[in-house]
Amino acid sequence: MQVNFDETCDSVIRMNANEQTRSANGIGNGNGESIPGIPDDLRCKRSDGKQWRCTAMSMADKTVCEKHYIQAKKRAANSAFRANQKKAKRRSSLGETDTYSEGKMDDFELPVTSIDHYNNGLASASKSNGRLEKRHNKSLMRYSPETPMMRSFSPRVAVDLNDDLGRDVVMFEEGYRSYRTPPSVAVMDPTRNRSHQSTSPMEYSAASTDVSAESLGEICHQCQRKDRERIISCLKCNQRAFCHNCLSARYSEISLEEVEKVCPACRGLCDCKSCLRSDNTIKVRIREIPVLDKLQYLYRLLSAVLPVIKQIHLEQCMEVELEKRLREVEIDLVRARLKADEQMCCNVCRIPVVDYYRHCPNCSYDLCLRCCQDLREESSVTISGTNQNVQDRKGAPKLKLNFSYKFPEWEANGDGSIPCPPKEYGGCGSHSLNLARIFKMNWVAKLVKNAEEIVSGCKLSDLLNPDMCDSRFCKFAEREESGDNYVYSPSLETIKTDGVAKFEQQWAEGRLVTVKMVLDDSSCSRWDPETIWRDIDELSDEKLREHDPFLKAINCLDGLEVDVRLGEFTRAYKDGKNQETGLPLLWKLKDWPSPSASEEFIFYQRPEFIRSFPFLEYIHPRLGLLNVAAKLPHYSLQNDSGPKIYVSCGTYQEISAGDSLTGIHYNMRDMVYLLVHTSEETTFERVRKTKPVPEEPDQKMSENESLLSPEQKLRDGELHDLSLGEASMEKNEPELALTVNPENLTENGDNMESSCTSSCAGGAQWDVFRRQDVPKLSGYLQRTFQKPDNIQTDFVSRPLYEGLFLNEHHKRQLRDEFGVEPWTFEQHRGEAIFIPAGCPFQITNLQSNIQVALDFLCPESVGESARLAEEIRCLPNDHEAKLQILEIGKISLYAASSAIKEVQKLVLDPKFGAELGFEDSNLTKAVSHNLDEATKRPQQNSCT
Amino acid sequence: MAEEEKRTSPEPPLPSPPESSSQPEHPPPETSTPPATFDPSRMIGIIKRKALIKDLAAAYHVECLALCRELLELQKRKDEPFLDTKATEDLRKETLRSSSKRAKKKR
Repeated sequence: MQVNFDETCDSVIRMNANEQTRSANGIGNGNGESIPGIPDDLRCKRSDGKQWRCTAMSMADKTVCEKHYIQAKKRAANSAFRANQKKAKRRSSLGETDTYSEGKMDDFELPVTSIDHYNNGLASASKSNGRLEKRHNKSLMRYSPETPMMRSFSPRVAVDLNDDLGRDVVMFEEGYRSYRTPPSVAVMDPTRNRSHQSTSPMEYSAASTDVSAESLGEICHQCQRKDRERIISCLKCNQRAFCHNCLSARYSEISLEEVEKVCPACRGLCDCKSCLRSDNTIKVRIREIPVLDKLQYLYRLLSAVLPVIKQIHLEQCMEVELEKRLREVEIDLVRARLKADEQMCCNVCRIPVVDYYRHCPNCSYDLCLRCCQDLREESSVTISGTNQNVQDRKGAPKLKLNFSYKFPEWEANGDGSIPCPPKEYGGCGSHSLNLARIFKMNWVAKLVKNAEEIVSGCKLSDLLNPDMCDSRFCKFAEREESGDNYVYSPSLETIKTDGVAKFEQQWAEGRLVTVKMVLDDSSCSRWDPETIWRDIDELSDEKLREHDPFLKAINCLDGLEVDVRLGEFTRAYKDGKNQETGLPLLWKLKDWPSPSASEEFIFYQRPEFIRSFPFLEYIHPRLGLLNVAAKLPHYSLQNDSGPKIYVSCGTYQEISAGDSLTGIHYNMRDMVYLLVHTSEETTFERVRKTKPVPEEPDQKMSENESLLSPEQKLRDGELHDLSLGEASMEKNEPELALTVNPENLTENGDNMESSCTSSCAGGAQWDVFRRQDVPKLSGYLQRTFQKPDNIQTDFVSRPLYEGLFLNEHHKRQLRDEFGVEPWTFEQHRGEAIFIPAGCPFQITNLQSNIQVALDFLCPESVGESARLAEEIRCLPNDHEAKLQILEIGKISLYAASSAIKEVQKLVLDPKFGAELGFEDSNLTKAVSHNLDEATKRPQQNSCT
Repeated sequence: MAEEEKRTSPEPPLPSPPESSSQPEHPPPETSTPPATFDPSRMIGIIKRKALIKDLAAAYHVECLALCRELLELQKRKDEPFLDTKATEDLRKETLRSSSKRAKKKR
């Protein structure tokens, strides 16, 4: 008896050792290490963890053989069935709802319980041992099929949420459970020896449970009830079933035969809680994209990312060569052990480090490679050959920090090495900093090599030139050049036919894209502040709930931060006025809702957002195909990726003191803004009606309007109205933009859009500048808004980061002197605006409105984002833009790694062979010939 | 009318992939077909070539091991031609040892 218990404890200790090994591998994965490949890939991976391993052939696309696959499926189904039974009992007795956080807490407690159980098993008698064993079995069965179990594994395995990898997690979980089962069986039957025969009673009990499961019936995926009649199982996924009531109520347009072939979840239409939480709709859309299109997207991503990682690799090679020369010994760089949510930042510029950096062993001072180069240039130190090479490749004047101004006594050594800074600058003054690294030694080099191979192996012909006379383009500017006045403005239905190709063309040229009628009028009613608050309140913990909480807001009249109650803000949002004094209240909410609550709310509480948002399968923050930022490991620290909700008040009445507006600014990400709600009140109409009465210039404006309308009709299609003076031009410019829109829409012949546009008033006015206009715009801003006491720097684009605002007067000056004119238009409710990275824009809120903002990074914007990262690096360390900088180098490395793995997986998958077409057979002819010969020779030997 | 013409213009590129898939059979496959906008055939070839090289290395490894075992058996027969019973016992011991080594590596 005691001998058996000792063996059981030994196996438990081995299980713990296995867990530690797996977690170590998981952390290594995060830092870019690749797990060494297993030589026999086609062998079944079923094993007992020690000597034995199944010798059968594994199935296609699976890691185990057919026998063990069926066994695992049966066990999973049985454990799921038992878990549901326990859940139903507990719910009926306690009446509680199983929330996600509750499941998570229970999940963390499980391993401790099992360890305690085995420790107590040694000390206690056989009867209490049996009872504890039963509890252990129950706890195992209860939590294994649930989502929290899978989530707890993800920090170790470092899995991003691809569908195929999700299956691997499931297999991993099943494998993990198989290690636990034999000890419990051995304890229950101490007389038997632990061998292969020990699995036979489990199979027998599984078979008996299967019979009972079949008699009780399946569980409907939608309503999670098993007492329904006529439950239809899906033949495609072989996991889900839907009852007749749910199908007729929710999916009446799909017939029962069609549902049996492909269920609503496999079609991406299911709105149940588990499907929403697992992002099933987006995964289905991504899965349905053809393989050649996926390869093309991955090719474009790699070709965009390749210059960035080449630059990183070049800098690293230069530093490594310098280090070899200094030490004269073969170097092994010290590797920093970063945790999953940690960032290594440079002590000088506060920018996160990409892989290689210089480190002081005495005082832990860290310096990034870019600062090393800047310091050497300031100290007039020239490395013999490589520095000239770098300068030649750059070609452009380099943005750099001013070290002689910040650190006048800190200089690089004559041989190129860099000492630790003096004590007054935070260092210790030691002789030199050592080179250190974060990722694996040759990870970047291998990435560059593989990416170059893949990029050079594809051929892409030139895209078709965009037709500027297309019906989907609207005129938003009146520049003298003919090309850039029109903006791609499709409706949501047009996008489904055009696809993503048009969008990519516009994005490659850095142009604006607007999409109309994303949300229809019925769904807009669910986006008012009270409804949003109520739904978000359900997601939060009970401890944090308040009836009328305080929110932080910014008063646009004076720019100060105010604490406002939610009810008070809601009233101001509707009325736009203070009830007592009659003065306008222009508040903008700050940091409400929080980014995580926004993501939960938008993706899991509003399924119509997922269903109708354009290009969501390409720009999703975690799953998007064309979102380069989505390739980062999901645990990495990115400050505020994901959707955000902006709530602000606004009026039509122009106030000179402070309008509700967002100043002109840059983003190094691509952004999309969707106007989901506006507050329409009759008071604004009254205000507008009373406008022309008291002032004389308004009367002139009305006269000009009467004059304008016939002239505008006569000169349909002309770009300029030279007969008008500057004054009338200034006053009527917004209305010109308004009048142009309906004409273009009527030309399109789209009655739906025109009726929608005329009925809804604009919620926000946008001014978006082109990328190529940024230098002139910065020059104008610097001249106009420059304070005399500011210290001048050589950094040109600095004013764009200050949040300034251009009014009509400034815009006219800008057009007259510099020839720079923005795309100016009004955003209506249900309209989405896509802004590329590097395009400055500003917003004037014409009404109280709610915008949903989503940031992503297309491959076409990676170069622009990298350029902006260099600019932001030269800002002061406390600047807001620097605190939220995007780690473009790290993102590029992980995106390249992910894309390379994905390409190899797609190419080597045999079921995609027909779709991919024929490979270049010259490359594979000789190797396949040798392989055939090598496989034939052993047969000859055996014959001999 | 003009809009319809422009809308129909993107349709002709769509049939080109099946044409490109059928064409390489008849002419030499080196020629890349001009109408295809995206041609990943060289990349696919490179990746498949790498995978085949791995398989070829594994096959060579297996062949090398088999030849080494055969050479070892021949050497033993030459050294002890008349002691068959000892030879069979040695073979059994060696197989056990090699299997345990394999198991340790694969664990």
